[in-house]
Amino acid sequence: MYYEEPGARESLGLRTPKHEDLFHSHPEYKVERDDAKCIRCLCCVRQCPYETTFYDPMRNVVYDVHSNCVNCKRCEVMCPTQAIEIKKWGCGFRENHHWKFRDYGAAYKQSDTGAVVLTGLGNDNPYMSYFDRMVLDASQVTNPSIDPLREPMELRTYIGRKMENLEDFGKESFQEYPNILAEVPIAFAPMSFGAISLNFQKGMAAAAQELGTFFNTGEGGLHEDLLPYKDNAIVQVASGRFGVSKRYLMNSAACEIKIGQGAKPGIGGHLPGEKVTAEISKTRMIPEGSDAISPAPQHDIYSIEDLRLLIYAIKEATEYTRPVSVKIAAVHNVAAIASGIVRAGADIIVVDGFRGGTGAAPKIIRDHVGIPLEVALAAVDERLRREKIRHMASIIATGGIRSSADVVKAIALGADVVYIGTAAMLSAGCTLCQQCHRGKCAWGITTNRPDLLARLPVEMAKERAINLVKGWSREVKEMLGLMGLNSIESLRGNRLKLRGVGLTKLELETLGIRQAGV
Amino acid sequence: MKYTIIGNSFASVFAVESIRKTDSKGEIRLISEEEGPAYSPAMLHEYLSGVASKGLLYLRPSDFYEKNGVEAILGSRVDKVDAAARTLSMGRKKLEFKKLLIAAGMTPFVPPGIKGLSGFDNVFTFTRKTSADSMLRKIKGVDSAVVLGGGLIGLQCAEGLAHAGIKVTVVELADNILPLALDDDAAGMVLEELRQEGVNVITGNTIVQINGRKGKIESVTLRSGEKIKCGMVVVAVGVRPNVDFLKDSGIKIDRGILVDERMRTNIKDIYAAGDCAQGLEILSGKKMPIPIIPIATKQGSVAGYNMAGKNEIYPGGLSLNALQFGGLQVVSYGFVRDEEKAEVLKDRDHQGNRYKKIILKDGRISGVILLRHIERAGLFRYLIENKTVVEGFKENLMLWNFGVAHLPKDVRDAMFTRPV
Amino acid sequence: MKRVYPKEENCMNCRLCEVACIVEHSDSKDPLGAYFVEGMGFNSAAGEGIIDPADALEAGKPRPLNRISVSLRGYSSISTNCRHCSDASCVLACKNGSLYYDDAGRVRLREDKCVGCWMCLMACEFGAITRNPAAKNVPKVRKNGINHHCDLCPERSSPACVMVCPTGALVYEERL
Repeated sequence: MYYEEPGARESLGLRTPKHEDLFHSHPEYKVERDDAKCIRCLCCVRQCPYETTFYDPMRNVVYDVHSNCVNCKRCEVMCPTQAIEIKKWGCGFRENHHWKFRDYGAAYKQSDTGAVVLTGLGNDNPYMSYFDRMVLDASQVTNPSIDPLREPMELRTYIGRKMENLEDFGKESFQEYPNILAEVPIAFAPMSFGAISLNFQKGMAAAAQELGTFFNTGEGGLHEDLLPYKDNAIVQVASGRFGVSKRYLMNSAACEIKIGQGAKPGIGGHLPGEKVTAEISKTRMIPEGSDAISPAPQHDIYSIEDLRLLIYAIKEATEYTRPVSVKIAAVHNVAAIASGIVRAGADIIVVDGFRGGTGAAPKIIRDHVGIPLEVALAAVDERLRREKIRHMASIIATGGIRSSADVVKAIALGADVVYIGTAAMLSAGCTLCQQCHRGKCAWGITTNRPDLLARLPVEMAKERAINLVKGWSREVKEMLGLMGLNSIESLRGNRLKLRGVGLTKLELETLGIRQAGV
Repeated sequence: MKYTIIGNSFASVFAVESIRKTDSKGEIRLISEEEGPAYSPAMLHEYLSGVASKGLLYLRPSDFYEKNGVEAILGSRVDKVDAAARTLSMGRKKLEFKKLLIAAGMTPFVPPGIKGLSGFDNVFTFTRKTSADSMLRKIKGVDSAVVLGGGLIGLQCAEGLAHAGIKVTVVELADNILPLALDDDAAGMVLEELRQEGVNVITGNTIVQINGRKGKIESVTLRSGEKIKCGMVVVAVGVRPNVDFLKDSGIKIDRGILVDERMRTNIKDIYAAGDCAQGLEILSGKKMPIPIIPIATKQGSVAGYNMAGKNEIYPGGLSLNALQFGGLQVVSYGFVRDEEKAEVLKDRDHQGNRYKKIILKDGRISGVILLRHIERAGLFRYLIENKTVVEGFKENLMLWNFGVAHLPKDVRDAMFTRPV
Repeated sequence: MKRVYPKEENCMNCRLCEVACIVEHSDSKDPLGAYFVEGMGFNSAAGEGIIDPADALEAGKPRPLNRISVSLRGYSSISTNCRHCSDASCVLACKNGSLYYDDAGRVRLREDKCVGCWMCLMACEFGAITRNPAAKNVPKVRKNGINHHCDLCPERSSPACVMVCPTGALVYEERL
């Protein structure tokens, strides 16, 4: 069965590439198999979803169509004798200082097809990372550091609009707003069922419940299997309005209006019909097999006033029991936009930086649109503070949070909480192969093919996500302790704890931090 | 004496084990006409040809009776059972019983009308070790033999003799061999294999006379008039439940001893199991004797449990056959020739010489033949015995790699999520 | 009694359970040793677990065969092995008492007694018995093979297949 793949046999013999194959069939990676160690168990053949590895029973050989390899590492990891090594193919295409293959490689494909080149995951272009140019403070002598192993350290934080003042507390005029409690300042980013597998989503949901934090349904609706975790769900209302109903909004901890996504600001989404299976169709409330199209704008929002209408529509529908969040991509004018959003009544604002991931986006947009999270976050926090409306909304930072250090830096720049998306996928085994858009994820994360799904059991996804967040939380506590802080809320917007290294004056000003050594 | 068992073969051995699983103390007495520990009649042809040594014949290790606390009275024939007086007699000796299991097995059927049958030494049946032993003694002076009957016993005996270096001819009255286990196509393939093994088969014919001089067989005359030279005749046309000794006992007998779903006869505390019993057949819902090992053991086991007080139900038997001739394996289930009002799925792979046939009735399987490709055959048994409706996935059944994954999810769950 | 149960939704058809089983029952307990030193021959995967014992013998001393096997249909797969039933059909069908229960309640085989009549294979409702052309056998029935089924790895606390399964698609536990 494995060797009956069309074209596989031909590729064994003399290759006779057609004209249009000439360019994009050039391999990027090479699967090297140590034949002395290959026991022909064919595990690799069965594990490869990208039609790279085949078995020819006539010659008793396992062979590879290298051009299909995406370096997802699945065969390498699963091989019981460690006979497989994936290598870069040759020296690669010619590059010079201006023409890098990452930029021009797509041109070959486009010359074949005339199509937009799609990709998954986040922007991987070598833009500077501001996270890497910021360092943390530590207590020495004058202000003692705290040992988190011996002293209490608080990571819990409340998300939502805070009260105007405390003087009226207890009086009738005192107005309290719905807040949700996160035991750790790390929640799982919006990833929709359809883009990711149900197993992965269930794993995150179960992990969120156990950790006392939140997962986000993304725009794909809430699958009925996730109902036990509804108290830890942030449910999204996006331009496609998939799966949105009053019941859906009430099955949540908070509701989120998705305006933009860091990976593809300004454009919508498209889940191809063949991926809309029975389960997805039920969850999204669309016919099976039909394309799920999220328009670029929300067609009822053309101004801040329109946004306010939607925010309050959701608040009315949820009887003012749920904080309403608005998620935007980090773009040029982000501070002013955020200010408007807060004034429109949002209780939470999510800023998604340009490193944020996606299930599928045009590569050109993923790589060239949007601004870094760090500067956007600093600008938004600064602007809200200046306008004295910071208390009216919590800020959630997302888009490229890679480690607990990034978490601490983002919070010091003004975030209340961070969302982790790609990092959560890493916990499930993601190898950053950027093939999410093909729906054949070898690790069972961005697919709904049953055999691939089996590779990521819910329990495994849950346990590993919990471990990751727990590990990060321990590190965050350590970092808080060394800065002399004992609660995450005392770090929020505390930019004195950050110093810039190798940044220009303007960059330092934009980030609102000082130069190291000053 | 709490338990008395007549017979010493499959049903009895499993009855003893089942009794002991439930009641570790109650005394067991076992009476058998045959001497020596329980052996497998199905091994006799391998014993005859020398493939299997004597040790492989015995069903259980030699300490079986001792270990299970069984008082074995071997070599004594029970010739009368008095159900009212609750006694049985062996010649002049009388024994009382409390709970009785009759597992007396079967006797070979010798058809009337063969002239000269009783006049010769070298005429055998082939269901007991004693006959195999005496055949082994005579085999040296013989270079050819005729086996009457192309059923399982006859063919196995013929193969055993052929392996022992004797020219064998099988004469079968029906149009084809193994009429109960195989259809014509499969029988043809088995015939081919038997020919290669050196067994000649004549069908649609029978022996009318055995010719010879001074007690020595020289030839047999067939109904067609043909004469076949031979020095030995084996009669293997069939077996009958061994129930003659129960004639006036008050136990209800049809062809075999009639038993209910707990292997009880019409008389309290008298049970019957194995080839002499006539229990439920699962496909037809009728009671019929099916003289095969899996049914004998199951019945023996159920009888044992019930005698010892554990409630165990016999779900009914299914005709099962696993045959092996030379390098050819055949497995068949149910009624393989009953194609009336049935859907027949058939596949013969000429290259690998594999054959598969499934008979469906009312969306359920009623008969299966698998030839050479017998992997995972038992799955069909599961489907038949559980009366699973296979209509929805019948195209899977014919796949050569038909396996667990080809069953519907609910069937798989029922099979593999709980202990059995 | 503890038994191996498949957890079908976790099975991804990698068949490492089969590899582990082969390695565990090899002399060298090492994959390279089991597959190369102990004889090349045939591949269970190539024929979907269907093995012709004669082929194996022709190819030299056969390596151990897998006692657990994955059945695949489309995108769904399930790994199954001997259920070790109480009052097992194979034990009831065995024509000369080669199959027996050990003290732990496992169905085991007296390898020197089995003559390969396939009554067990015919009787097993779970399709868990295969043919194995083992070397240790009655000499004259060698080419035919003998009964082969899971022994629950008596030397281990948990069977090799269960320990190796990357997704927990096999569980070893006591169920009612």
